[in-house]
Amino acid sequence: MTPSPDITTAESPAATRPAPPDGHEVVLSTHGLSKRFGEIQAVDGLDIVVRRGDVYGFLGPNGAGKTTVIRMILGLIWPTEGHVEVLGNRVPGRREAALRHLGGFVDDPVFYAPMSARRNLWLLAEMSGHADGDRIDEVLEMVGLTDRADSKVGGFSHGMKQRLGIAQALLHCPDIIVLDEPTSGLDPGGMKEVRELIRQLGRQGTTVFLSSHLLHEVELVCTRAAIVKRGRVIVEGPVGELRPDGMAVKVLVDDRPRALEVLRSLSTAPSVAEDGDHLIVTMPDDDVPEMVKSLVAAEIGVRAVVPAPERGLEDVFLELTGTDGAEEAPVRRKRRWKLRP
Amino acid sequence: MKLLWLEIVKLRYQKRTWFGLGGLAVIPIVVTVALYLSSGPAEGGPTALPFIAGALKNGIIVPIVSLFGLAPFLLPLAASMVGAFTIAGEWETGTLKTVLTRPVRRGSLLAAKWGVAVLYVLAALLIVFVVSLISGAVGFGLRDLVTPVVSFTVAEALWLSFLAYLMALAVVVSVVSLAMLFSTITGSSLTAAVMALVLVIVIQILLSFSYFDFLEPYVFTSYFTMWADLFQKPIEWEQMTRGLVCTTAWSAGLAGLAWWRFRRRDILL
Repeated sequence: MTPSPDITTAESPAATRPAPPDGHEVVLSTHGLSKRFGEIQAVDGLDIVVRRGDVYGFLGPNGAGKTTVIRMILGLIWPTEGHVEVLGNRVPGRREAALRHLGGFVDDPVFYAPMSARRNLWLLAEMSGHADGDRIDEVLEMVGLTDRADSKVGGFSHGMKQRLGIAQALLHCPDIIVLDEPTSGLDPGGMKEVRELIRQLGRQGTTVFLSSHLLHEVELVCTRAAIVKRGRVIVEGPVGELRPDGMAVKVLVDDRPRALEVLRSLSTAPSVAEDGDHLIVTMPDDDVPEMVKSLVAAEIGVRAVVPAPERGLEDVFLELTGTDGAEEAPVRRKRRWKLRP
Repeated sequence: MKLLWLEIVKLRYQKRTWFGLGGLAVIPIVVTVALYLSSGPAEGGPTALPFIAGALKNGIIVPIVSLFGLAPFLLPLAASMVGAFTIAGEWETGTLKTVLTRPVRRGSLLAAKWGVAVLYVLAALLIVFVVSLISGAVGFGLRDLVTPVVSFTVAEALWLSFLAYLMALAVVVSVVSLAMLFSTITGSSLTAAVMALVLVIVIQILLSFSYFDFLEPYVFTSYFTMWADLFQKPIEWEQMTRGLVCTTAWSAGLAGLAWWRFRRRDILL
């Protein structure tokens, strides 16, 4: 269960609320969030919790439902089941109230091509309340577009549009910034710049929720991450702990769901991943006997405990999200949906 | 209100805005030249209208002839396009999702877009009216409208012509609303414009068969030229009142449907 957010602080303006360094206030959460497109279950009972100050990576292969989740967070599409909660405001029920706390974009950010960057930002700021020329200059400066502020967006490169997308997300000083693959399609230099910008935002205490299919990127910029596959969270935790730095063991048990429950309630909080019939548990060597004991104590039959080969996070990611032929089908079918106007 | 203003700002940046207004403004000039070259009324055309047939070389009739020329096709076409661009225009370019990630109610956005579409059509009609008068005055001069059937002073004729343009707007707003509904359904401005226009034309064709006569009072397409009743003494209000009620009901109903459709529409692009 996720702790309910503090409603009283939720209503106070963003600027006056200091970001607690430990970031325990839940600012964004999803509750059993599901979305079905015809036969395709794009998102399937997704539960995630983002706390204030997190730079939260939403990691998964293409077609895992990342963009669909972001669309639901931003109120662009309606969940089939479940809901999103942004500082006490349910989306889609209180979509407008939630959007005051959110800034971001889905897919590639799109602007009015015949207008200048500054004009675009002015227009969007007006829609959020009142446009403030100084704030517009400030965000343009932050993303390094001051020189091109008065050029038409139609002539912008992909990277510049991406940066302008971040600028418009920051415009109204939102509590949470939601970015959908912010580095996609950028050249290495552009990627580096955007990542540096996100890291900087994180250091300033801004909560960032970003999706990515690049593990390495999430490791570079995020503090927490969830790995999703077919619309479900497979692993969730601090980025440092996602990497199996301790020993990884494969555990074969009788009752996997219960075993998962037991393992997740352990005080040593090992990272647990499902892998076919096995559970892959990563923990310091010394904790392994304790882990087996608690499984047995819960009357779960332990059939085998074998060391898993040394693996990096890359392997974990590939294994968890593994894209064999069968996994490709929903990706293609989802494309078809995206193409429909 | 603010959204309405922002929509006007956006409209100003669209090239098609100016092309549309410019194109419509050419029509009264063409009409003036045609009248200048014609020797008498043509069967079935606007010059055969009884209250102008006897006074073709008078600038005061140019607004009426222009409006009559626009009414059956070009006005519905312009209205279909304007209505179709409301939602689908931004949907196609992708800016709709950018706008909808702002704390703006979808209903307010739709209302603002509808309002701007109506204002645009109104502006187009006013431009046609003004250009008609200017080109009519230059071509023939403005004189009292005196025909064997009825006669009006210049002031009367001006006022009635202006009213006629406003009456035409009422019907055109129904077409705008229809196209806006298709715009929210299809998400494609071209499809929406064509669907709305085709529907308007099909209804007009159906109504030309006597079997469908019973429908005539209830569809907005019957009222494209209802304003012709203004040019009688005394003015025949019955048909026009019915027309205003009917077109207003259609506009409200179609815009309401568009809102209902758009309110919870998934925006995937």
